[in-house]
Amino acid sequence: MKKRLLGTMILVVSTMLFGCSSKSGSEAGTSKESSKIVWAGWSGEEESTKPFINDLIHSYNSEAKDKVKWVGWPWKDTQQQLIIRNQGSEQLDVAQVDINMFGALAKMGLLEDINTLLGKKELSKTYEGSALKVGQVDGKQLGVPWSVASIGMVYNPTILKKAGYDNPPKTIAEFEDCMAKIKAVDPDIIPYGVATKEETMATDFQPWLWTFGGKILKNGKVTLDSSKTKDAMNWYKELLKNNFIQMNMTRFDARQLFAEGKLAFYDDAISAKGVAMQNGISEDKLAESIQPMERPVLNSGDDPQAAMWGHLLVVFKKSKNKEEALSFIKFVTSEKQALKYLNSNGMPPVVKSALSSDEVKADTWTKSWLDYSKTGQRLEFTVEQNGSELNNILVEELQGILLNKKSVDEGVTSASKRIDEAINQ
Amino acid sequence: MFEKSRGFKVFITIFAIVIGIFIFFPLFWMINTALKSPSKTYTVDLFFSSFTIDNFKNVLFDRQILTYLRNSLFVSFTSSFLSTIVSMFAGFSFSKFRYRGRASLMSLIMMAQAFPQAILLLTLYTMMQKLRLDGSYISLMLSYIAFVLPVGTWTLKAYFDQLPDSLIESAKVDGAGWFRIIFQIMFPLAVPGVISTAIYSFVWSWNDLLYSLTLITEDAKRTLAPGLVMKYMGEFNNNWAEMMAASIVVSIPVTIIFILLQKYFISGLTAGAVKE
Repeated sequence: MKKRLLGTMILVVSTMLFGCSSKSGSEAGTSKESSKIVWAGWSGEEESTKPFINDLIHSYNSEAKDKVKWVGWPWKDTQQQLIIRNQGSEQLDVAQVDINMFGALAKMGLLEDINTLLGKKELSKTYEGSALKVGQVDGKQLGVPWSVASIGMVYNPTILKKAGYDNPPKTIAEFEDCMAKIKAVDPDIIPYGVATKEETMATDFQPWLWTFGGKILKNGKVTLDSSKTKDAMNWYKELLKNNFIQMNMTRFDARQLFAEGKLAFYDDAISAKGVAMQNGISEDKLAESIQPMERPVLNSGDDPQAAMWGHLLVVFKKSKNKEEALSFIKFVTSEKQALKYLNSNGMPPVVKSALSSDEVKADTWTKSWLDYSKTGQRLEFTVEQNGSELNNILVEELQGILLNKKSVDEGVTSASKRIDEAINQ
Repeated sequence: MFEKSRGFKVFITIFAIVIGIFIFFPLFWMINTALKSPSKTYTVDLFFSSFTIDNFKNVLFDRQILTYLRNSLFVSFTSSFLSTIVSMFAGFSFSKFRYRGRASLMSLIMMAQAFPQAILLLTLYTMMQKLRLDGSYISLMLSYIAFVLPVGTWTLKAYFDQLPDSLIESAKVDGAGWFRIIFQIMFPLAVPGVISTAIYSFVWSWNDLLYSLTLITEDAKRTLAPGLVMKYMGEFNNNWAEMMAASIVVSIPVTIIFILLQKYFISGLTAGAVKE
């Protein structure tokens, strides 16, 4: 017993000494050198985007007087960490946020109005209008778009061809017919990988709700309990009954299954092509394996619906370096850096000069996706402070309906009531 | 009599098998995923169909993960060591001394355990900032010690309660001072309790994600839990296969320590459970 204890003690002490003696390295933008601007987010931590972010910070720091320091967390934890840091007194000037984080931070009153720093005219002269709108709340420009497109639909052309479709379906009727034919050709293929689990279920449902003419909120009032919502829900139920969609499908599941050729359609962001490659589709097979498409419409002539998606850059009210933060944002979104980001990670630019450049015009994937995003709108809970809670309510009720725990009428009424209570609490 | 009946034995066996499957299936699936190629992650089949050890190779030759491992070992061992020392003295004091406010203090320490970690994070984070300790291992270790102390103190108090006061009295008669009584008589007798507290503290520090993520932002200082999440769980893609391989590799040190010391852990936790 004594020998074992002695051994454990030696292990403990040697580990402590080893830890104490170890030297910590540093990366671009995270060194101990004095930095004036602190930039937070997640892209500087992810394998796929880290090289670009490091290079971007390095380029800025080599030219600018005010150096930038990067602080990062995993994507899922970024919102929580930004809030914690804002409640403390730690320096935080600029942050990368996605649309959902942006809404929560904006409603908490943590963000600076960029209009006061740069001016509306300058902003609208530089940035594309629909992208700018994504960062607006109550007439204030609380976020500068960095990379904005939509959550759109992608399809597998090879599978569609086998089902007799050379082009993707344009209307819901065609979409249903196409899915039925796919199922007939290969019963193992799940025709449509719409999310039926987690928050993405609410994200994927809303464009379909809009397609059927419904809205969750109108002028601050909950309008979910309508015949349009019930039509959309009955259509979802029909898809499930026909095995065109499956329960327990997350975005991550859909991405992997799509890459394995087991899904014909699913919803994703513009980065879907890069994700498909990471999941095993070789570059030479990309064109025949994944293509973007417009969401089918209810009636010919309707506007195809899409939920706006993207990353924004925000300046915190607490920042003491707002001007410096803004010049860094200008650098990040500049034509040169935006085109670099497009080439390295497929993230679309937002500045007008980059959008009209030959590189973007020649990039058919990006060009098509941006065209399909033109009629996109922001998800309805984006700028609600308790957006996450509202999404959860919607998901719970939708799942209840799909799993036959509630009728469509009961589920829609219950969802409407609960959302109303949560908004007005 | 009932315990010895055949029906009871069959029931217990089936029950044990069901519980065993319930506990070990996730572990099995973790190994299964780690031994498949990433493109087969979502395929519901066993690893024999696409067996690969590439995920383990990638993890073992990844210097970043080894850095996280080293950092986690350092933080966990140190905070475990320090929290055990403090718990030992606190437990001994509560058990063997009688002073005003003792009972209230004991309740107060226990109450600290009732607060959710996430709530305490806000206060601890602000406190560490004011003390300019954020970003340092000291902040992380202090937080871990704060969380482990209630359980550690009460575990060791229960252990010291079992040791008769007459031991202290006879040592005093033999001329031993408090220092000798504590270090040469009482603490050696409380080894199982000490070890169970140390293991509890170690595992707590090892598994923590939230505090490490908040208090440490420099990549070179990151511990395993946030390091692995950052490395494998992205906005667009999750590399489950390597994540599982890394999780298996990094759980080996904790498993070895637990296996070596498990009998002390169990006897330490059950101390004071039965009055004789």
